[in-house]
Amino acid sequence: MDSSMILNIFQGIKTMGMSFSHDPQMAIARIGLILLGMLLIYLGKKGILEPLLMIPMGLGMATVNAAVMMFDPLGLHGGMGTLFLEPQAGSALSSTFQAAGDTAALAANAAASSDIMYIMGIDWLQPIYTFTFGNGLIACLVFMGIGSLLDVGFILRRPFLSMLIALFAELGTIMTLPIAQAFGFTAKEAAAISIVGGADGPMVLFTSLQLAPHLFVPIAVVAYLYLGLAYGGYPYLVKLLIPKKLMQVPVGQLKKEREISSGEKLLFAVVICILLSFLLPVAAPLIFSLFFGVVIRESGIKVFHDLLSGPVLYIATMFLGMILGILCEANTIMDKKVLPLLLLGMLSLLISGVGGIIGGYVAYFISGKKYNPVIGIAGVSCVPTTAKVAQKIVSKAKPGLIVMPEALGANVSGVITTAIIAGIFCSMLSK
Amino acid sequence: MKGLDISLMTYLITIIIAMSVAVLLKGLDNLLVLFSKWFPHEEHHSDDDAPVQADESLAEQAIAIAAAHAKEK
Repeated sequence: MDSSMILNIFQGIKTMGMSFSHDPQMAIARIGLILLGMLLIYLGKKGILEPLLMIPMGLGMATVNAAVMMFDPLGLHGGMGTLFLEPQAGSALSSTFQAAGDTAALAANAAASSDIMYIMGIDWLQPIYTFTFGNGLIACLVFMGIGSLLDVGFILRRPFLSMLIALFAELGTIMTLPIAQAFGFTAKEAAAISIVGGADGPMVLFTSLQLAPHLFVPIAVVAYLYLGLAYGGYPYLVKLLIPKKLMQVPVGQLKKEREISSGEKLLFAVVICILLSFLLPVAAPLIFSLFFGVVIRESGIKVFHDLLSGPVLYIATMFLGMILGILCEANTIMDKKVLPLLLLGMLSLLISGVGGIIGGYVAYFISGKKYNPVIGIAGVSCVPTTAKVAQKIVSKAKPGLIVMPEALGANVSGVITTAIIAGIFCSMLSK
Repeated sequence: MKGLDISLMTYLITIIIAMSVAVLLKGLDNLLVLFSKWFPHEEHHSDDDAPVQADESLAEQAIAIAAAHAKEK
């Protein structure tokens, strides 16, 4: 038995050897991604990063880079590939949509469709990717689950201050767009990248699929990696920018504190859903999904609520993490556009965090120093992570002080402002 | 259109819509308070369709975080 025959059995080793001889950078990237995947699992297990996403993502990332074999049925990756999924299958389909009616375009569409069907019969995760990622369904499912956990009553407590903070926390999104264009990205690509600053995973998936589907994989991976890091990094940003004395400021009581009934919350959710969908039809699937969750929660249909907040949310999150990890194949990640994406994603979230804290300070002064500026970080709409971060910091500075309701108000407002921005970007740039 | 123009226009429209939503919320809230004087609020739910009380769980989370830190100290 000669060595080539043995290597044909152990194709992971063969492809690694071939990468080292033909493209050493790719081989190093594969090893680096395997190690990064293992690190994500470790950090997820330790609770430093969000385990629900990072553990499936880490295992997917490590495994897919180990399992490269001599298999490339569509001829896209120089003869190497995996049996997991092929994100580029059918990519010609979307690019030829606009030319429908043209015979050549129709033929290309037919070929692309046939490629998808062929790959779906081979790659085990391809059906989930094609039917839930390509059309944004996974983002909508996650949003339904998040909506079912949201209490709009928290915005109703202080609607103006909550919205004000959320608007400041969008500074990262707003400022990163021109910076990304200066890096050489087109307006559509820059908008898709800048929405990372909204810190809302499903919104990032949706916008990148609408505006820059070719950058969907790196943008989604960068966004979710950084959202995980935000949980660990934002407390340092808050400690750097807010003195301990101000972290201990209690939130003033409302003049007329009253209990908001579920019927009122239901009415608010229905009205806002219809209004935002009317204004921004492009973002209507996401807006509907979010408020569908809210409406189910407030209408008291317990079985639907249990379904959305449990199985739907967790199954969608699990597959989201797993598929994002599997998409981190060295071939995809080694794209030369990924490095600026890493920098821009980080910059966007950093500016949003700083913006949120500035918003917290503005709210503190507007309210006559009766508002805790730490709540500003919760304007970055990573529900409910940043609200928990705010509560954790405040509790550490002054045990017993509760800011969670106000923080969740800013958090939910952040989701609304990010949805508005995503809708405007998609409406303005998708044609 | 330049990136800066897109950003500024987007931010301006976002501010208008977000603040309109806040005004709407406040307005609806005031209306409901006003009408509640004529139509006293009474909620009834059977065991099967009781509204979900996640507020409690969030409050519990906040208290748990506070308690954990107090314990650490």
